[in-house]
Amino acid sequence: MERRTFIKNTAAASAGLLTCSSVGASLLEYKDAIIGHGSHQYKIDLNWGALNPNYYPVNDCHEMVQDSKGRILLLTNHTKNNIIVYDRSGKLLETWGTDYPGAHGLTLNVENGEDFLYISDNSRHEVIKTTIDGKVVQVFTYPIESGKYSAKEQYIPTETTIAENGDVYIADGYGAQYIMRYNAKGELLQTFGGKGDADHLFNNAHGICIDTRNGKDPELLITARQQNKLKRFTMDGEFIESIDLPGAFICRPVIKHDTIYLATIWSGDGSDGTGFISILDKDNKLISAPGGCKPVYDKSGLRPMYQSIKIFTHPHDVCVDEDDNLYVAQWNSGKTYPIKLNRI
Amino acid sequence: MIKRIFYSLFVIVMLCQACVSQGTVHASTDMFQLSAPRLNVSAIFFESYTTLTINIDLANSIVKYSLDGSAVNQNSKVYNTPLKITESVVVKAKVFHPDYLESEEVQIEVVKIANKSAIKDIVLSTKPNDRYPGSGSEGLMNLTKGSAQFGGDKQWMGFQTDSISAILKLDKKVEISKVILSTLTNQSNWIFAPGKIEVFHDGKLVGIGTYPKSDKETSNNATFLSVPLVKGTYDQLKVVVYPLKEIPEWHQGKGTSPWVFIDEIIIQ
Repeated sequence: MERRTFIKNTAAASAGLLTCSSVGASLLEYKDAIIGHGSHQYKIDLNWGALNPNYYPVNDCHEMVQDSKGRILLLTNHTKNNIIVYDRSGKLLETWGTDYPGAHGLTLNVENGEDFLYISDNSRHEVIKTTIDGKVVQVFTYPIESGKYSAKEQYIPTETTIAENGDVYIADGYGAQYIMRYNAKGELLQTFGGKGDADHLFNNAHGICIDTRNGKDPELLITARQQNKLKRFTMDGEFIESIDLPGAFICRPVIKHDTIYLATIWSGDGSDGTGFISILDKDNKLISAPGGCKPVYDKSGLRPMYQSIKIFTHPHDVCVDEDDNLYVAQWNSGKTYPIKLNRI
Repeated sequence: MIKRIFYSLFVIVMLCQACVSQGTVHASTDMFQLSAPRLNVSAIFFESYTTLTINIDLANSIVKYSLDGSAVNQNSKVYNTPLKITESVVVKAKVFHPDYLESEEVQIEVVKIANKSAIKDIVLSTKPNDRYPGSGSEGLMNLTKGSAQFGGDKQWMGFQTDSISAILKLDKKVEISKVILSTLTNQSNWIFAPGKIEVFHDGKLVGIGTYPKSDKETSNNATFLSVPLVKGTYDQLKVVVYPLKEIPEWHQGKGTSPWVFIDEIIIQ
């Protein structure tokens, strides 16, 4: 935090000085792009994590998490290396994983001091729990016992979240739109949600996480991406509230401190090539939209959002590090590696 | 002055050092393009006027536009406040910024309607596809434009047939010179504007329009196809729409039947 403030102040001071001189004026022709609004503004590092695609190829970069050692893990649906592990500077550390053709959701959970990963695979129609180095420890196959499915193809899980008591919630975001709740042993406890426009139903339940901000009792945040809504539920699957984000096709919520970050894969009318990052404050208000227009609230709520600058192509997930820098994984962006945003 | 330059140099050196020590090169503004401006009109089809508003987001952005079909460049008119438009025009616009690359050009077409009530009823002889049923003949005359996101939008009727026929029942007192078909072009979803439209009265051809651009590659847009008629009053007209015979050679769906999407039929 202090470092950030220092840099900000120096930058402001230098900019002021430079404008006084002709030397400065010519230097100022090259300006670092700054995106985002208010308290959450960023400079863009396009080179972070770029690798030789002949050796370490990616297709879609779907999701990213940071592990207990501070390493950044990227999940891609390229089966040469489904997991690519970087250090924070973007240096390659290792790769693993060749069995996840539909690698889509990546959640990290610390259990008895050990990091575990939950990979939601769209093509395998199941969720696989692994150790941090890729050893499979548990598989959540398609939930026939729910009575909602008659074939595994109907079940296309996109995301998971794990509660303090070990319960595992799986969102069937590309399938029948149910949320499955298991205990740690993998026994199905409950199924809720489903497809529809009603408050407690979903159209593209793409992401899910647990919200304990401000010391409140845990609750679930689940995205209804096509509806441009983030929905709050109790841990027992009771609907609480919808947060409307018109024009923002939000992927999964990621919480850091009291802020929610959501990669927004399309924006405006949902056209190709759009998208930005949505950042919500502790009151679930959109306060910054890097790559998007300035969020404005009026009497009828948030004015419809749209992309302002073509920084991103279909952002699919955001990982936030301890300095509040963002790592953005993108879907269908021409096999590009993640983009890092350095907070200023 | 010399003192000032010295001081500036000192700052630059310090800044460079800061950059090197961090090892990060940040992307500069001139690497990024602005997104195309959003054009909003109070109505696509209007009797007296429609109001155009354009969102301006980034500080120091300038939106420029044309209403005469010409390409927008630095010399085009600057948009400041909402515009009142009283004629059928194609609005083209682009956003410029001193630091970022200028946006792509976007366009929207608005259509003035002489006689809102001239069409009393439309009887479709060709049924739309079950997947895109629209909302019956009422939907073709309600002057509500279908959205670009056509899936699930009840304004759009989707067809995948050799021809589409409709009978327009008209108010006999009104003189008519033109039929306009409002269609969708979305080639990546295999939706093409039709190639030809014929209009008959009592079995006699009274108007024909051919649209050679329909099989050319183009971005997604609302496409209005106009058929000039022998000017006169008519009790009814038969409109026959001919989709392209097949999807053209350059498209991945070449040789197969394209989709035609229609949301309005308009009389002028």
